[in-house]
Amino acid sequence: MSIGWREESFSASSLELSFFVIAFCTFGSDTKMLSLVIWLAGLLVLAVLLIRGMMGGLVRRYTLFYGYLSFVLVTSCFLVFIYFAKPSEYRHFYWYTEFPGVALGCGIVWDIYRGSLKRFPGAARMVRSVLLFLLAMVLSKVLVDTWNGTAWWPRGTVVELERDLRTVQAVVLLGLAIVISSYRIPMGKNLCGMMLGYGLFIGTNVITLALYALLGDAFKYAWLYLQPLSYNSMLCIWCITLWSYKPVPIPKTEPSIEQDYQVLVAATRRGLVQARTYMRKAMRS
Amino acid sequence: MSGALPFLAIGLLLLMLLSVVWILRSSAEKGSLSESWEHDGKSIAGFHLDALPQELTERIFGSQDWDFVSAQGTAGLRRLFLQQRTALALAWIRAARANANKLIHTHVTAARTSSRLEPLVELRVGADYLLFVVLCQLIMLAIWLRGPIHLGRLIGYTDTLSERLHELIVRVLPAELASENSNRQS
Repeated sequence: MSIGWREESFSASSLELSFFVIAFCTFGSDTKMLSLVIWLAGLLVLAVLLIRGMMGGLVRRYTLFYGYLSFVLVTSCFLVFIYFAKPSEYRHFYWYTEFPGVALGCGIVWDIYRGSLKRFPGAARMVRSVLLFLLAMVLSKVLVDTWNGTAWWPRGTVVELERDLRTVQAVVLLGLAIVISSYRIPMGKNLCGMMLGYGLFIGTNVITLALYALLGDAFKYAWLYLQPLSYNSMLCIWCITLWSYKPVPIPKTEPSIEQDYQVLVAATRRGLVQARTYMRKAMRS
Repeated sequence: MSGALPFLAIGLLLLMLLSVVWILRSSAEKGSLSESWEHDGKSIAGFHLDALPQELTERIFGSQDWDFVSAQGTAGLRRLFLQQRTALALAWIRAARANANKLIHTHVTAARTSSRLEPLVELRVGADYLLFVVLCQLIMLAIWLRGPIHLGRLIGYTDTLSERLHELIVRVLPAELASENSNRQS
């Protein structure tokens, strides 16, 4: 996930990478310098995050998260090198590294799931069901599109493809966030920051990519700044919340309802029916 | 534009939910977390709503006082009576809703640790709770519009509406849950 300095023609309707050129080429020297500073600042924060993670033992606890960060750091450094050494090849390498980055980003969701729900098997089961349902919906859409003779991937630009992949990630994160907020799962500062940062980046990305695909060049300048801004905001949130290890708060007393789930459900439903009946009776008095 | 709407909605929804997660975490840090763990399966079984005395409820929503004030009082007094009675009725509904919130809060606190949790049953409980909240909101709207006196017809309408919503949800849920619903108390 490096910052995408690119410009493209939205009249194009294929996945060919040759439609992309680096935005640096078209902007003035001030803008170019600002862009470079933002890019390098992001790299610096990323390096600090990794160093702090190694020093504080966070790498061992959130392996996939730090694996993802390492991948991003290595590819970003590689892209900087390519940009200066072989600018004409940059656009190819950018997209070759972008999609593995999207795939590895799923590891962050897995780390959040594993870390926050390990003491809550009920909520974990709920998350699995919600995610299976969402996966089934996505697969159904793919199958219906294939059945109707349209390709399952978007026939538009690479931006549209990235928007769709980010949307799948957003939906997965949404499912996780719904269960976590509904069941009031206590999250430590680390996990909460991880979720907040990644969610902010994914959510902003889905919105900006959708607007870019819709408005085209009219949104280009805003997009070129919004994307690195959301990326750097994510890194800053991570840097603050993952500065040192903060464990997930442990509840004082653990409920012992292993045998009594059905009793619990019956009691809750009886309570709700009772409340409703009570209200009806009062209103009709 | 319509093609971009689902993406925009998903993005915005994600950002809003993350804010909720952050707020919940902040409130948990302030101490409400320890309170939520005081409940367990046994205490919820014995849970009952802290209902206001029936006599008081009947006075709030009944027409007895209103009949007296309208027969004796001036227009200004009638207006004042209606204002105060409306505020009282709204407070009553809020208290009932707070009771339901407490109940569902206790439920989720206990259910989240159970490996026997059944997602569809949880969905059913969530739907019941949501319908109760919707009913409260509709009644509050009715009170706000008409005042708490002579609400019979409006309440009947909101009740029917919430029943229809209930039936709609039951139709969407699997058969075993629907049959369970038909046996519920009314």
